[in-house]
Amino acid sequence: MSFTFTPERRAKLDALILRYPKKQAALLPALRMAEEQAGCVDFDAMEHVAEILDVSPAKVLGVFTFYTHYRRPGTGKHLVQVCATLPCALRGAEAVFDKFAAELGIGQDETTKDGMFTLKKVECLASCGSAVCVQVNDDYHENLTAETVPDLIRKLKESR
Amino acid sequence: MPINFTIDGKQVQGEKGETVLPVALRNNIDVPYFCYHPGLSLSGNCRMCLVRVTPAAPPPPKPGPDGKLPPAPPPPRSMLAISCMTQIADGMTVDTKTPDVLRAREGVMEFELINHPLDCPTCDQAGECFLQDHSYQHGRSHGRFYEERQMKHTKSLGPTISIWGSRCIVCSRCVRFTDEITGTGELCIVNRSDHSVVDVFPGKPLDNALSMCAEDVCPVGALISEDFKFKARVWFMKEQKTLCAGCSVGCNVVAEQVNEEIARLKPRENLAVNDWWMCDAGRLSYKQHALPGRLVEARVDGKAVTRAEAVLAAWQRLSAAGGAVAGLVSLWNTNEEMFLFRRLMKLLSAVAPMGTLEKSHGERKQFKGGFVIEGDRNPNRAGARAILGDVALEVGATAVRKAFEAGTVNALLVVSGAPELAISPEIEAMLARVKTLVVLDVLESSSAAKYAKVRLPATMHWEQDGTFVNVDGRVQRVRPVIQPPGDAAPALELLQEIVNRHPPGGSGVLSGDGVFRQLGAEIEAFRELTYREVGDLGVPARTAAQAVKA
Amino acid sequence: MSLPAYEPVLLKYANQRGMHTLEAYLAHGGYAAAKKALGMKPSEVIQAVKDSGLRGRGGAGFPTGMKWGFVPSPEKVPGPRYLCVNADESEPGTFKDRYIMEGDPHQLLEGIIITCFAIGSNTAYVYIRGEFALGAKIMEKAIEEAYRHGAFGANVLGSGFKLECTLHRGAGAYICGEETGLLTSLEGGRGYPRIKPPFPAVVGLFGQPTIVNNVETLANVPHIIERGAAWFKAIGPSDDPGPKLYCISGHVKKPGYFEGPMGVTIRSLIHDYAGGMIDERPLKAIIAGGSSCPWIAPDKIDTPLGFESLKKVKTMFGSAGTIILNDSVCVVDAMWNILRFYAHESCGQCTPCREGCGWLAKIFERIEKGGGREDDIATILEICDNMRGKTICVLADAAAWPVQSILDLKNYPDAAVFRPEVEAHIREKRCPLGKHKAVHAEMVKQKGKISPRLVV
Repeated sequence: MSFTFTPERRAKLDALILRYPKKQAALLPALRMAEEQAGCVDFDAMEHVAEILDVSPAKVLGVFTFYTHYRRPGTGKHLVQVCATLPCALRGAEAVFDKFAAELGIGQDETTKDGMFTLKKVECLASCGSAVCVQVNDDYHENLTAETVPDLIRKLKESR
Repeated sequence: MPINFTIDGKQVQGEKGETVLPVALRNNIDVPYFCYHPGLSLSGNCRMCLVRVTPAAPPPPKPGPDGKLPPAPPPPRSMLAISCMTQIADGMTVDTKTPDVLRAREGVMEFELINHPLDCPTCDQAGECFLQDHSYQHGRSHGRFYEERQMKHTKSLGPTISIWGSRCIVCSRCVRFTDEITGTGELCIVNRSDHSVVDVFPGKPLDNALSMCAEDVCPVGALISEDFKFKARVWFMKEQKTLCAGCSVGCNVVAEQVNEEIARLKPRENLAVNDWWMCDAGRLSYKQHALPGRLVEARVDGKAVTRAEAVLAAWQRLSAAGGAVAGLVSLWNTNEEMFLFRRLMKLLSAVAPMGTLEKSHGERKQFKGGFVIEGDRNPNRAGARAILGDVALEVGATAVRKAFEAGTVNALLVVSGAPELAISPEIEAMLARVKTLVVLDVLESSSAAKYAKVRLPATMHWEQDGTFVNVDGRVQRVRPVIQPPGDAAPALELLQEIVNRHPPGGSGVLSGDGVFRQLGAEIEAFRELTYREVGDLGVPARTAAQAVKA
Repeated sequence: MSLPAYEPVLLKYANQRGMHTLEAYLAHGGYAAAKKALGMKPSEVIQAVKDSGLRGRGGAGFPTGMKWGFVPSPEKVPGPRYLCVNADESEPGTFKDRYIMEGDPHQLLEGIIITCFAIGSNTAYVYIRGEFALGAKIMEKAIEEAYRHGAFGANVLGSGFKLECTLHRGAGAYICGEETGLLTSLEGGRGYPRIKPPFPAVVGLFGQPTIVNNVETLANVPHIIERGAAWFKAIGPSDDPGPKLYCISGHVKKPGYFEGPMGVTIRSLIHDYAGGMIDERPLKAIIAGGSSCPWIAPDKIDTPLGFESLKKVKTMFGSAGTIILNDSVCVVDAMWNILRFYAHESCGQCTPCREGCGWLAKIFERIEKGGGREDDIATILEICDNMRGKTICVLADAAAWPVQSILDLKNYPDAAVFRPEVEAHIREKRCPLGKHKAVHAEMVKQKGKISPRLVV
């Protein structure tokens, strides 16, 4: 198994487990910690988490695939998630997405060759009042239009 | 206290804690379902068993202290509810055939089928598929799905099972099975919405001793047994209710054959024995019926003879030994055969030492859901104990060998009902050297058959009638699934024919039930039992506690 | 028009920078309500919330005090009780809880303390949706501060009451906002909703009595305790009172979230709060409370926003996520978008929802792309009928409601306004507004993957 939590993270997870009457309840946070550590959640991480929480790896896989917000292996450094649900769509989400696609030269669920960007269309990010909203990794970028996309991409590229 | 309520106007009764669906099924009221399985936890996801439920009317208001009637409570609201999870209650009314219920079922059926590949012509489940059955009875006559179908993976889940994901209706039965019954948890549902499908973790295949039951619980053709895949159309198969003989549990099974070949075994519900399950080893044990080298003709001194000639030779040679006769019978033979064996031995000698042959023990395994695979890999040890006695069972074979070595035995009768019995080198040596060896056996390669002077081809339990007593002292039926090969005949018949040679002679050969009745007259454990009473599910032996005594 | 005179309650401090710290919260009298409540009897706290008429702000609008009252007594059901805070805000059009958590988290924490005390719970979990990374950071910090302040822990604010509070991050699943889906998810499972009854108040998290409350609901609680039920009841309509966060999005000049009394009219929300329609274009449809709500026509613009008032016009207040659509919107296109959402977010447990949501989305896509069939509307309505009320939770209903509201003339009078546009799509085999090209026939020819019956 090539994934192991760092001692600090493991200690944090162990402490967190104690906050629930059942170990398994810490499954979502544990996957999140694995994601923080490795940049994505892969099968090794899932197996490691399963072992710690005393559940079968299949159980972890089932849970992992149910939730869409964990980073899958192969995700670029910047995960660009364009909200395409109605309130954002009314404010031009499609154009924003297309602009990202054109600027980065990739489509839905694709990653740029340099591994910098992954582009995804996602459902509501709960930022409808500041549409169009794009979540890049942890950060919300709001009130975007197709015109402001290149600027955002430039900033992201500079932030490396 | 039983709970009384009505389904479709019929008064029915259930126990507290039961839900509507099992009570309806028990009363032969047809409520279709997919995800419900009596042996698994309730999931309530398929929505097929929707019925209309009206709670009991509240009691009429009693006059208050002021003598006035309070306003009557509102009449109970009836609603559509899934019968598998609706707790029964006194006075409730359930309707399973109202127009809205029928419409809801039709709706669910339509939803189940829109993304289904409708590949029944190449699907192994066809003919025994819940989707087909329910579609025929409850579905629409034509489709109206004009869109692109959602495809899902087709892959191997493990050595015994593969999944045709597009057929999967995500009822979660198989997942619950590996969670609750085997406790191995290999299966999960991945993804969500209409992408949901059953899968395993990479590198952790579905691989446990009960894995093939996952195919049984799958109500559709999603999980497919590798063993049965593309083997036969189920409607061409003939069914027989019998037992698995792989261990002393005696799992109740349905064996199905096509063209005198057993195609598969499936566990048959018996809550006193195996619930709904059986182990993979037992399920595949049917393959033994087709082992190469079956005995198909009678031989005397190596020469092929008729059955009658061989029977005569057997009697003559055994009786010529002047009482210096011993016998060995396998723990794979039925109670009836053991009983006839005992009778023959008594006729031949007042003090004939009797012993047993058996297969070696394996590992005992218990699963999370309570299912057990016994370490004793012989189906009828308890029967042997009841009929032949503890001594024959425990030290009989050794006694026979010692008697032979002491020179008090020079003729031996060996009755075997299975291949691959564990024969010790000492016994083998005896078989090789004994002057008279009469053998009823199934395989040419068996030690006994090899050295036999008189050799009669016998049957395995797939080919005959009889009873076994399982580890819990339960008397259960085996029934013939296929015809014996060649001239092979059940030891039940052969032993009677040999006994009939005993003066004054006779010609009657009783059926299994006939011998069983005689057995019942003589042996306490079977007192007054008949095949009818044993039925499909078996009954406890009269002396169950004694029969299973270790 | 002018805004009604109203002093913000929930957002009084949240909109000011730096007010998310404990220091700031204490500076304006924070945790006083919790102290007051801890000096009361739990039953008195519940009664005060019942008297206030506070209804859940998460969507269903269930009276909060009554919900708390359903928790069985310890004699009847022993063992722990739990409070789960539903911060999985994910109904399209709704984005209010996020600002409470980011702007004034201690207000929520104080509500948690009071609620836990009222229902006898020593453990609270805040289930925050995975996407809210910032909110989670701020909440985590706030919880830490609260522990240090003694607002959580073995001796809450010196009262002897014990309370542990844990932040639990979700990971992207709309269904975890459904209260039982939230519980399953919190227990570490796939967020499958559970069959009710039993209700969570009796059998909930880890099989124990559990109350699930929305963030905004809980944020109201300290104010009710501090200022009294009568004060609360005097805000907005008496049958549906209280301060309310409104979210407005779509084709308005200044979309966003606003606080007002319950019962602000849609017109006022659009024109007074949100600055009016973009480019003054005419209103085409109103989605009053989030994407699940039946659509209403522009003539309902003077309806007050409230649980009862919107019921009268055949829609719902839901989670107060008002989406405004102007005349540039294609009804079919917008509905396709909504249905894509539900098809994506259906948990996949119940057959009608798992299959139905995707099917509806595919039909609307086909109609929009010029492949409409004459029997489509009848089929759609039957699908909706087969989905509604046939599943464990209401996600299937939520997907069917908006669809029915634009097509089902019998049950939704406003369908008369929207249906002709759908019919036009089908009749003309194209989108009359030109949102999408009529590429369906071409797609069928080229892909050949679509059911061959379609070609015939």
